[in-house]
Amino acid sequence: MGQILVIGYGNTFRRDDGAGVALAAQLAARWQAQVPVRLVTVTQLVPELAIDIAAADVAAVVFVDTSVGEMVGEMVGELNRQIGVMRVADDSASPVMGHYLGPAVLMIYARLYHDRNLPAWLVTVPGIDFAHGEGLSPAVQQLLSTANSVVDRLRLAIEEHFRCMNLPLHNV
Amino acid sequence: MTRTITIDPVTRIEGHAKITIYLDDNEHVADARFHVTEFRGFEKFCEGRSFAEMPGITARICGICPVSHLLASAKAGDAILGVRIPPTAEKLRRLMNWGQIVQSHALSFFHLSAPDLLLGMESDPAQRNIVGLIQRFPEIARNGIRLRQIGQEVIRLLGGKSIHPAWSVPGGVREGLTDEKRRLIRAMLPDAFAALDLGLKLYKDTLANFSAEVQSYGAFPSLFMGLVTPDGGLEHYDGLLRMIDSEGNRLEPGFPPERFREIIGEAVQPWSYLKFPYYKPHVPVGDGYAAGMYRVGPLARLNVCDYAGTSRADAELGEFRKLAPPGKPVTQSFHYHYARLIEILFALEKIELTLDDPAILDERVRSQAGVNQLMGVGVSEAPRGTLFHEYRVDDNGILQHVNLIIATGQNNLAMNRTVRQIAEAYVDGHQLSEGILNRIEHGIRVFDPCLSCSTHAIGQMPLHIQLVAADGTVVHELVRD
Repeated sequence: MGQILVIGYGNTFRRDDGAGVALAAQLAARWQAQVPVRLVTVTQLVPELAIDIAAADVAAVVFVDTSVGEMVGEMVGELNRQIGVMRVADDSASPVMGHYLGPAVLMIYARLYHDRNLPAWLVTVPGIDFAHGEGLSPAVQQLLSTANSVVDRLRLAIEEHFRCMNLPLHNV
Repeated sequence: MTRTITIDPVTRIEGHAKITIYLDDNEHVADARFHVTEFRGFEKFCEGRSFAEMPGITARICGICPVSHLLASAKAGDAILGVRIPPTAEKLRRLMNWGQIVQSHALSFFHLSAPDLLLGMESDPAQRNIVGLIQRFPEIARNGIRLRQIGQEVIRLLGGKSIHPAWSVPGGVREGLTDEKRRLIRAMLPDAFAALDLGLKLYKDTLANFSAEVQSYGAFPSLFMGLVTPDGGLEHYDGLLRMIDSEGNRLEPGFPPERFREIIGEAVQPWSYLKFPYYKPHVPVGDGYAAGMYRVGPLARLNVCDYAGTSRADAELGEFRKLAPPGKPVTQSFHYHYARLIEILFALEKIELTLDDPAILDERVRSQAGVNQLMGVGVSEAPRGTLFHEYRVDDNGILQHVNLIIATGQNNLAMNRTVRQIAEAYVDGHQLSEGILNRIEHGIRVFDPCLSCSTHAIGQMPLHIQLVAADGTVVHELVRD
């Protein structure tokens, strides 16, 4: 049975930078009754996550991160304007391996590493407080408390993707 | 008319830097500087904290080599407590250190350097990266990713997570190793050895293509420093400091590391946040500190040791020694790549041997005590070189003074000299090219510098190089987005 691999990443010691990790856990907990889900939380994306992504039982990947300021990218469907959801595009641009490795490049690694071309989505939570410290700002806490509608719509969007591709999500 | 070429930032190294090349009136390279533009400030803002917090705090200096700071900091704490940690705790700390060497060196070789080695120093920059490597050399890339994953897994299985594990503490470690986790580590070793063998083959097969680079990427005499075991073996966790010169003479055959201040000085320059450590006895009074330049890290460690201590690593060390005249150290910095691979091999062999030690599963892993000394020094070998943590505390264990000497900082003088040497070999004052810029960057990259560590600011700066005439006219300009 295929899994949705949920990767939440961010620094939980930088306040709202940990919002992606928090939402990823919330999302995985909410989905697990409907679809097989595996949750991974990391401080930052690293190349060896490509091995997890390329695992035979993974059908799709959802990255969850924090954003700063304006959302970037196209919205998917009619979703909450504050939490952004977008398909991860195949970015063949040169990835400079340094501090930052993005979802698109990681998906390229996975595709080339194990010849698996999986669909991926990026969910971003807008953060406003990135000071040193634990815990999310009240504004982000409030946002996450109302995030279930976004979470549910994304799951439906993923299932719809597999229906359109005539692929069974649950039997990959 | 003096002109300036600036490379800002340097890609594919950890941290951010700028390189400035100064041309003279004849458009020949007059000087070159490697500026580190990050400032972290750990030495200052840690004052007032408890020494017990320092492993967790200083691990946050870096996300690539946090284990190095965990271990050095914990060792400084051991000294403040005045304890000898349980033997099993030392074995476990060593195990984690070797796991870190595997993952960090794998990252450096396979991800940061292999694109240049396999795709060419002056190949298309759009392809000269890990994705380009995966596309053209998938087995190399796959094994590089797998090898780093294995190193990270060793760290995670021991410490609970692979980045910033809260595990090594003053007095020992928080948790021992279970039989199940030992089994899991052991199961990964065949893949690790296979990946490493591929890397060794890659380096040996391609080395002949880089004869010019070997002679121009940091090939100069210098001192070398590293830890050795009491009988001169390769050492990464404890032992004695050894300093040799470029003729192989032992200036310090085995110096107690806690007395490092007697032989290591630190200079500063206004144009870089990275300090300039130097060997004090080599600097005549009143002279500049550059005479005390020394190198640390894999090349230095293999140069200073008499033997490795594991069968395959010793065999490779024998091959490594042939790169220099008998009895003399290898002075070409390009061979840091080879040294890194040998150290991965050594680490894997030591992991394998240590896992077979029945004492590795002992549950006594922490000594308990209060503050018994007001000064503690912790020294260990990080992947990039010798790391010093020096703490002075009050009777309550509150830090009054912190000094950190980071591996990359000790290579600062050598990196500056390397930049100049490459610029002299490849830059003419008339034209810049992406390939030349990448060569200069690669010269820095052979040291595998960790600038996040060594300036005790992560942000993307656009790469913008200008060749500016003395009258301010931009003669030539390159922009990298």
